[in-house]
Amino acid sequence: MIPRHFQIAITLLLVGILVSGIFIIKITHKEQAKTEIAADERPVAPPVGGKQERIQILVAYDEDRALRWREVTVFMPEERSLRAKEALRAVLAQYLQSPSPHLMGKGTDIKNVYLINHDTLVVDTTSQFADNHPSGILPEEMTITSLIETLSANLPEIARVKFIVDGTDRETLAGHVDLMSFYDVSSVHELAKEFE
Amino acid sequence: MRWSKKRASILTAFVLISCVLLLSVADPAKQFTIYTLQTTYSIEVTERQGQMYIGLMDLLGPLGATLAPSQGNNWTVQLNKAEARFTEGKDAAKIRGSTIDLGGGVLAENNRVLVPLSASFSILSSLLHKNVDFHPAGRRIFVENASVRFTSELKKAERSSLVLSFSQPVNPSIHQEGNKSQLLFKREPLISDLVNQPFDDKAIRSLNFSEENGMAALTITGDTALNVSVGSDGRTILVQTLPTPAPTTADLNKQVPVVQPSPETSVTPQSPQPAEMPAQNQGHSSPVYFVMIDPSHGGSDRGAFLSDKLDEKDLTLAMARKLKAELQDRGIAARLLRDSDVNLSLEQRAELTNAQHAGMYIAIHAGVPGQEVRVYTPALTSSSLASSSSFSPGVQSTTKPGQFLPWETAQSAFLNQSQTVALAVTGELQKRDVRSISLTAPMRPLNNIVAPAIAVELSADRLNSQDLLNPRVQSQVAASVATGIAHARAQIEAAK
Repeated sequence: MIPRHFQIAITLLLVGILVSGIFIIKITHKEQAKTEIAADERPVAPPVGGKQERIQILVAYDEDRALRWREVTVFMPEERSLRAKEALRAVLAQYLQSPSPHLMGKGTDIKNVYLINHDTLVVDTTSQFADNHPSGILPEEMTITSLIETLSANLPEIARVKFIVDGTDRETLAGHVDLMSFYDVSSVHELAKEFE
Repeated sequence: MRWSKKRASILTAFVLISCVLLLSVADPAKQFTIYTLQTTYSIEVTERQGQMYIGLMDLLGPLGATLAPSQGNNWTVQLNKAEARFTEGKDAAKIRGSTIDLGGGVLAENNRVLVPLSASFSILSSLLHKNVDFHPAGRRIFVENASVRFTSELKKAERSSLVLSFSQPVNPSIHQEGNKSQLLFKREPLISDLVNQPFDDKAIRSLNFSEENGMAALTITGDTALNVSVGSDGRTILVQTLPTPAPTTADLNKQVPVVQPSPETSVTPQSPQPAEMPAQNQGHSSPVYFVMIDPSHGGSDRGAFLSDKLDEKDLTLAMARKLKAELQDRGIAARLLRDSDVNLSLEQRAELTNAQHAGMYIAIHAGVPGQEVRVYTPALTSSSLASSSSFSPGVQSTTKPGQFLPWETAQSAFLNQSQTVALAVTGELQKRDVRSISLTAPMRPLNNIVAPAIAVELSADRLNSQDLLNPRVQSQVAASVATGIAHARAQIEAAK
């Protein structure tokens, strides 16, 4: 005859094993689902449409304190705010490569570009654009100038540009250069001349 | 009841009037001024036990001394490698191993050590091992022969003029009272062997030198009211009798023949002012011109990371202090927007500068990369400016008093003057073989300043960022910037 307390202990042990098994199976299923989602190559956003184009971008070079025009090939959509976004991302791509001609923090990207009244652009960047940007008058000025000049080269009708960070106003880029004002593109042409 | 209310009101009014009268006749705070070759500072004098006392660290702190935590009644002060020990209640101190008589007991109040004012000479001379000259009556002390001397020359002409020439630039505050003009030297170590110099002249009678309450004063007594102007280099002060008042219409009518003044001639007789002396302080106005120095960043805003151990905010403060001293050496008053590690927003920096009506604004920055000094003038890239028809780059726009100025482009009326300052500073840096470049930048708070404004950025490569801490480099840059500012100020004043 098996003692009663021994019967209870074995029953509890079996229940424990059963519950653990169910839990492990559930976790495995969850992970599988995650992997499948990650492996899914179906687009979640509309692809950048348009043709491959060679565009002019103005790139900052810290080492010799200069801004130089470069030609790059990118997909450029028809819609103007999307064209602006792709042109800006082409500049940022230059800065985020290694070695970089002009250091910029990881995670820097353009979230959205809003076109207002055909001649004004509001550029919404990720928070890393400002948070991780090297602090200093020169690097900040070169970033802003290169981005606005690139916009102007590819969308000549743009007269004013404003930067916002993660959807909100930011006083300066990294402690120095103004981000509150709307930049007048013709004035930025003058700034760019200093870095020729 | 009504009567008591009335009595209460009368009593209240009486108390208020008494308070106002008491405040108005109260003595100004007593102060003691210490002049060294590097700096000048004034400290408060308090009265204890019928004797004048000063704070020990007020006296020695600005010279770099540190006070060790007290051990019982004993206090130890360290200055470079020298040590001084003070014991509460004792009238002697041990400095560099020697016992020095203090002429009164040491007091300790709220963690402050107080020593008799008369002991300042013994303490400074023993601790510094330098020449110290104490003027107890004027409450002034001079370390290492720090001094500014002057000569005076009376020129008799249609309008008598007294020319005072100083060995270093000065910036006195000028007070007029009747036929007396008093020049008050608060920061300059002005000394003179002369006390009273009478002149054999009807218009300018005498020149008197006095020292009081940590300041020196020159009093010029004339027959009538006098006009005082400071030369652009700060080394010369011209005192003249005021021109004869312009004749009234009735007076002119009495003249035969009646001469109609042409636009080129004036009916007011005026002797020509020397061209090299644009007036800075005239008549009853006291000098309000000062340079606002902004050590950028501070507090939680560390600015650029120049190296693992060096933040931009610390370097900018050190440089700003050096620049302030250099400007004061040139007779230009200067203020720091922050003199400690505190947070100040960019808006606050602009507001403070504008509210105090600074004559010039200099922001100090430091950054990587580079091996040069970059001098920035504001770039007004805001579209609100572009839309304004009155502005064209490089052309001075005009502002009327009370005119509304957009915050974003408040600097627009001063762009030309800012460029003048930048050019003068860059020129001075280059004269001293300091690599420098003049640039423009859309910076805050420069764009919001209603005065000539520039930013000076010291730069170094990250690997060599310690070069920025080199005292020789810092002094050279500060001296160049100060000289540039002095030149630019003269140019701006002349243009006005």
